[in-house]
Amino acid sequence: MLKTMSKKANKTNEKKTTTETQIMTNYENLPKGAIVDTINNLRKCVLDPDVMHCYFDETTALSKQISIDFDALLSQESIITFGLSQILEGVEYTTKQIEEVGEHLNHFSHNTTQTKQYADEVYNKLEKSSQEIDLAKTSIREVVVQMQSVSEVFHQFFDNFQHLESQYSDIANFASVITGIAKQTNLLSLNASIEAARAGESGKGFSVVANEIKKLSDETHKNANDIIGALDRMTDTIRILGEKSTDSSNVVKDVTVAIKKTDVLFDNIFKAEEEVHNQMKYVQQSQEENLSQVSDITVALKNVINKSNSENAELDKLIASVQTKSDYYLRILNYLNQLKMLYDES
Amino acid sequence: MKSLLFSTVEEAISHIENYPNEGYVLHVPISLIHKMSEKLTSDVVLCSTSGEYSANGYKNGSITGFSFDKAVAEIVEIVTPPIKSKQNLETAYQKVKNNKNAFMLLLLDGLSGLEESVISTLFFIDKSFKIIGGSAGDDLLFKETAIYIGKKRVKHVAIFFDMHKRTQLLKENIYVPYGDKLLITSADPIGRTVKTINGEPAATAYAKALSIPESQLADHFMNNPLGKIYEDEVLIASPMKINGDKSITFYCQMMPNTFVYLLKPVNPVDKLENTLDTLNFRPSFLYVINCILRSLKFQQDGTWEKFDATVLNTCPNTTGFISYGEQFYTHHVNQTMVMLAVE
Repeated sequence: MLKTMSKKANKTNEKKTTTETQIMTNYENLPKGAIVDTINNLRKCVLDPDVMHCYFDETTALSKQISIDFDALLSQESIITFGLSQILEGVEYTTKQIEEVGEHLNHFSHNTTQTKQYADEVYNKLEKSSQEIDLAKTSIREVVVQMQSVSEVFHQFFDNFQHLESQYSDIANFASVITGIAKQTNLLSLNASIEAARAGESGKGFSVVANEIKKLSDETHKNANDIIGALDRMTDTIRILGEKSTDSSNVVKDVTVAIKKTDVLFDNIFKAEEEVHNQMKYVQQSQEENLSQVSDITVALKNVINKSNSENAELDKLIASVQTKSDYYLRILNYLNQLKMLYDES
Repeated sequence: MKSLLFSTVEEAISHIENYPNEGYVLHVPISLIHKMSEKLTSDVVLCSTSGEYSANGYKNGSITGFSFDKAVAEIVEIVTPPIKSKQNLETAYQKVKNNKNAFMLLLLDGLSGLEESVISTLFFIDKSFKIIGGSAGDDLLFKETAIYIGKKRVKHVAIFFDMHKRTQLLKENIYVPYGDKLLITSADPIGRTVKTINGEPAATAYAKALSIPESQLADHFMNNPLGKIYEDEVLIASPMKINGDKSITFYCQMMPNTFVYLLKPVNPVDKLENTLDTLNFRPSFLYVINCILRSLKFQQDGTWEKFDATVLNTCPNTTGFISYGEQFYTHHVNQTMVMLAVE
């Protein structure tokens, strides 16, 4: 359309008398909207006779190039938008991961608190244990003391038995003496019997006495032997008692030794528990530090989450702006399309 | 402004002849529009539809519309390409631009895919100036739509209204986003076709996102369109058809390297009540443009009755039509309801 108009404009140009009114008359069939633009174009042609065309070709060339560059711009956009989409996915993934870490941290914090409670309980129980051990040691000391008393008693028994043994010995000696005397008496009665016999009838009364004395000495001898027999048996009993007393004393000694060993073992237990006690203190300290660290991490994590959320919000804004920006591209595309429609018409 | 409803062409023409001092915007079934245009003056604008809206609610096969004081309106034809009409449009705009109650009604061809072309040509209009529009329909025949200024058939038309009463524009979206964002990785915007989503063929990726077999995808378009993500809102883009190469053609332009959401429907009557609650005044006149896909959904779900009751309860003086697309300020959208309220 503009080409046709420019040709006509050149023709009228030659005359150099054409006015704008005449141009309007010539082109009154043109759509209203185009007239002002057309007039401006024609004005150039009319006023500058050296201009052979009205920039129609230049405009076409530039419009075509705008189209080409615009397509290139859109493909650049695709790189940016795709990148944005990837970042968005990445950020969403990161946010989810951070939230998961947050949950794990919560569990960890919960567990650490639990562990601290357990450590406190162990600490308290160890305190109780120590007290029990102290009581045990005190009881043992009392037992040891009592054991010593028992030992003393057995020692006294032993002394008494010895004393008894010597007394029994004395009695045995007396019994032997008595036996000796009985033997002597027996000999004497024998002698007396013999003399009595010699004395004949006058000696009969003496012989009876002599017999009686013999009977007495025999009985005495028998009694003395019984006493000696009884004493022997008693001496055996005393000996056995003495041995038992010695055995008992040894048992008491062994028990005392064993108790003393137990005392040492209790001391060892006490020392071991003290060490555990000290270790528990470290555990408690360590747990408190852990909790404080967890608390710090949680604060830091919350900051990261907040930042992440605000970044998400920024990204959402960015994405919303993508459509608004694209609307401008769309408008330009529509302008280019209208230009193309104009060229196609001409 | 007065809502009108006629059962026949004769009834409509008779009314117009009885009130020649008024201007008219009428929504007419495609089967009747050509015949009707033969007897009209340039104060009457006709627009073919895929259903109508009236003081009795949703209709199909009637003639609806409204009359207005000629003095407040300026009718401007828009040709193809629309840049050729830019000067006329700007001239008309300049007369009303300082009136914050003024608005522009757009009635555009619904089958040539030029809605964004028209809207982008309105670059001289302030962003806050009220623009409401609908794309003409043809009763689901998808052959040709028609717009007339009197006897003259035009491609598109803009009417500037220099209102003395308060006006308000409302938009309603009965879909909400769900699931992850999708990235349109390649598209032909002028051809309204999306070729790949997330690097995969569009139909494949769309079906995957809905967790349905690809063969069932087309059945889900009505209930699960896509939403363009803006900072404060989501605008609906309706898929039209799946092409042989698994690209999807839409009822609006789609840019590559943009993010979209899958959408799912919410209760429309609840949403309508929320929408009407945002009215700043009790309206004396309501002009309602509903997308054909919303209309089909309402017909399927039996929602029209409740919808009608709610709207007409707010304002009995209501009119409008069922369109192939809606315009709201500088956006061309689908499956949306746009509404003009006049105090």
